[in-house]
Amino acid sequence: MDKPVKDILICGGGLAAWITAAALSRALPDEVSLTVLDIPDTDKFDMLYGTVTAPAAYGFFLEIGLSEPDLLRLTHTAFSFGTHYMQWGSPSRSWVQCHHLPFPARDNVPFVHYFTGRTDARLEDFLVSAQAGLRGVFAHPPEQARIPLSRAEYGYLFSPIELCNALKSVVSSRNITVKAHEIRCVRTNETGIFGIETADEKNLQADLFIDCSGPDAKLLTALNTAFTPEREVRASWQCLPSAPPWPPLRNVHGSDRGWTAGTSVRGQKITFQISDTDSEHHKSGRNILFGKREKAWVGNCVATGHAASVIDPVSPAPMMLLQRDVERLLGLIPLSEDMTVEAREYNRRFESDFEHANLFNQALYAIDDAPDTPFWQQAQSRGDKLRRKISQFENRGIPVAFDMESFNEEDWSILHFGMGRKIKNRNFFAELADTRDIDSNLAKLKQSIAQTVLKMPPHHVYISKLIAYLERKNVGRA
Amino acid sequence: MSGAPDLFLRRIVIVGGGSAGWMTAAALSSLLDPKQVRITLVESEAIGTIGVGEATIPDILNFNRLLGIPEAEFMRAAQATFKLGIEFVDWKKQGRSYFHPFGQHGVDMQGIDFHQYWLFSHAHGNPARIQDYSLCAQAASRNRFALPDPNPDSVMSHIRYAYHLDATRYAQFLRVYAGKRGVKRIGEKVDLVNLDGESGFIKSVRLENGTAVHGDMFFDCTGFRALLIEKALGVGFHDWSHWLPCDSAQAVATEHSGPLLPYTVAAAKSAGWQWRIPTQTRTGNGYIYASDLMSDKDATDNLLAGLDGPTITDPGQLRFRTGCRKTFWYKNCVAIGLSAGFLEPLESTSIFLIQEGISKFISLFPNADFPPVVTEEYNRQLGLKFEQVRDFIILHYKATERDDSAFWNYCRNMAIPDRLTHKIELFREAGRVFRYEDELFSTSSWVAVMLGQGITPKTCDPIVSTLPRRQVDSSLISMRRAVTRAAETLPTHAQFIQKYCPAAA
Repeated sequence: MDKPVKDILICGGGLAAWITAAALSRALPDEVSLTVLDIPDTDKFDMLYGTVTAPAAYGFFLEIGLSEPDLLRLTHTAFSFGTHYMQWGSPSRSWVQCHHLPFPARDNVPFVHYFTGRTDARLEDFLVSAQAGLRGVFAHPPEQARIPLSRAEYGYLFSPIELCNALKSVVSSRNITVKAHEIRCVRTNETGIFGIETADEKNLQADLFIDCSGPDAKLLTALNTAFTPEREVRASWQCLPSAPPWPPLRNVHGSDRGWTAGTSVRGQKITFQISDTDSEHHKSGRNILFGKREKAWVGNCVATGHAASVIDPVSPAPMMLLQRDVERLLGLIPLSEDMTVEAREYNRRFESDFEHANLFNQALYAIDDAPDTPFWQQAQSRGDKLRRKISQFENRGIPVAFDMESFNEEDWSILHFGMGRKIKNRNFFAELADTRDIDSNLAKLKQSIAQTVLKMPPHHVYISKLIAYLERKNVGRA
Repeated sequence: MSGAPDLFLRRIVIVGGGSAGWMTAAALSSLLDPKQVRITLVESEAIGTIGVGEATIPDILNFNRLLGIPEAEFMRAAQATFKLGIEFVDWKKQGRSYFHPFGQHGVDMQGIDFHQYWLFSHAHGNPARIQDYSLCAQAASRNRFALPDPNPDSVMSHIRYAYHLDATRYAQFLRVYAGKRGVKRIGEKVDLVNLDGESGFIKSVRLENGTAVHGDMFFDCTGFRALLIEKALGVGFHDWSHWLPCDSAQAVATEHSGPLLPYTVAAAKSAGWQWRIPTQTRTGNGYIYASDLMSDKDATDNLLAGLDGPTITDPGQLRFRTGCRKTFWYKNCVAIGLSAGFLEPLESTSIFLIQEGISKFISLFPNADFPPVVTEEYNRQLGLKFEQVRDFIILHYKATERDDSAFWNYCRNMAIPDRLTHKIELFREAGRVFRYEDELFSTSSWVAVMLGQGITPKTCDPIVSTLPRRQVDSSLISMRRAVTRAAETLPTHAQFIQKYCPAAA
């Protein structure tokens, strides 16, 4: 049998590195030794992971040993019902891209057909997470299916820097070696990497190298893996103290030159700005290339996070992809030095995960009357799959889904309606339903959501009480 | 208001009876108001339908539920029995069998597939087979059956099932159902398809008695003849016979002998395979083979030699070509059933593919202008389904140790689709199965067949090996015990049917 994989070296010191380390140190057998080469300054682009997660993060963080109480006590993370897009591509386009469980169907008619054409109301009137988000209130969705709030889902608003530090402290109690050095050179041969020389002239060896060195992808680059750029933007960010109330939504304001996102975590507000690269009033920023490596696993080296791809943080796509990278790796930990089978499957899924997350971002920019400015024009990109999604929706309200998409059917429906896309032909069976029945059902649903939201506490009140409770009961790490 | 009424389909014509035609008629009539849409089905008594006993997969429950058909009533009418899975005999090599059950093996734990735990424990000397952890397989091996328990905490909630049925009677049952909902039946043979010279759409079909049936939308359910979609519209055919080389079948019905099996038997033979499908009153048997490697006469002899009861009918023969149409929906014509494509019934997917054809059509229900955006999506989805089923069936032929005939030597050595090669390699490395979303066959199904056909992973997932062995073993022991205990307490399949849904004698 080939040589087994016994030593794994994670190269990088940012969020990708510590998330990967947390996941692997929990999952792998003790015989496999895990080392993190904590390269200074690799976290400088971590803000590009965005400041918002989708609901899937809850289970993922738990899986890698960071429970929700840990997260709340170790960081200033807050809850998120979604993103509020405002003045998006035109002054009048605004909607809440909220997280929601599958919409109810009635008489075999999907909800989007049921409500479309029957009322002037907007989809978000019928979504409890959108309404709660707009009012700035929060409570955990209960399990009892009869309560309207049970249909809501939530993610997190977080600071990538804090999250990275929290993971570091979680991992520190585990059996893992940490070395902090710059990489001087990556030694390669025809099968991959055979050693990494650090600034203190040590030569680190391993059976599997994990490239978490950020957008430079120091390891993959040494293996001549090309980066396929999609477009270049200018980005800047800053954090300022902020007092309550903190909305349980991230706000994203569109402008002619780009967009500005505001995320309130507890006690501070993170502002993130993106514009085209020529932007005059944006001198302090850095130029960022969005795009992906042609392969994320080459020989004995696999990349997670920005070393594999850098995606627009206009949606929670960056955190979704980081999570996918780590889960994909966990499912494919190689057993021996011949990793071709694992690499092929990893790259296949990497390719489709990136493509599908990117579809959602592209859909956000797919506006026919987008401002005639470099930023909006460069962001236009409609491949076959996106065209199919949009045309199927506009023509018949049909959700087209591809393999293992991170964004689900509800995300897509909310996006389409939010951006003002209309269904031209309602479902045939919706036409046959009794219209008075539909109208009265819709009115009832809207009213019960409005009442629910009225009873919920402000987000900051809920969260301070929750944390006080966790502290009193000593739940979660501090 | 959107969807101006004059764009609605007003006249739907289904050409061909049989399972495909009547399933289509029944499904559409359950949803459409006969005052708004007229559905006509043309079938000829002169053209026989195929099928002596047909096996299904659990998706058929959804179809019947959609139609609101009471299960016991349907089972009495179609002389149906229950099916918990398929026993594959002599596929890996002669003298070896395995069971492909519906539902799951064991229970997944901590986000890791059950089979990884089994591989781990098996590698350390646990002699139990993976099917010993499947309630369906355990009940089947004891010829026992009961309906699943809706309470998810009960072991009995793990039962998943389908039916063995008499397809002709099922079609008759649906014919009555559709008739009550306003479907008009015309008992005539179609002799000509009239196309519109300009648009190329089908305008009408002419019957042998000289009259014409006009429609806005036509379903081709004419079986292998593909009268509309191929003879009239010529959409073309993807030939997959290099992957699935069998091209002939002979079928015969026999009397029951021995207990009533709640599963299908598929036995590999020297140039193909033989099925055994019990309905309530008889057993359907068939032999599928490659005619260039076995004469029809030898096939008949082989079929008759492999029976377990006296014959009721004479063997009937048919020829086919495996593959599917290049386009399933072209202009105003949708092909459903054998006219859409044929994959041998090794995994009982024929009726499922009919259902998919119908349900995808319903979800994309068109206006009379047939926008290409609708038909393209339909063709994409159906094409994908056919390919997924195809790959799963090819796996049974490819992964074999048999070298006792030219047929098996061909199959063992043939080139297979890349996607299947990758799946096999991935499984062989560490028992990993990546299911593509929306794929018909579950992880459990892939695992059952890969292991059964002799693809043994080199090792199990390294993450499982972090768990203490004793803990894994004891979880497995208690699972197996629970499954065995539950299986032993069930009534026999025959008893259950007698009480629940006996067919008229």
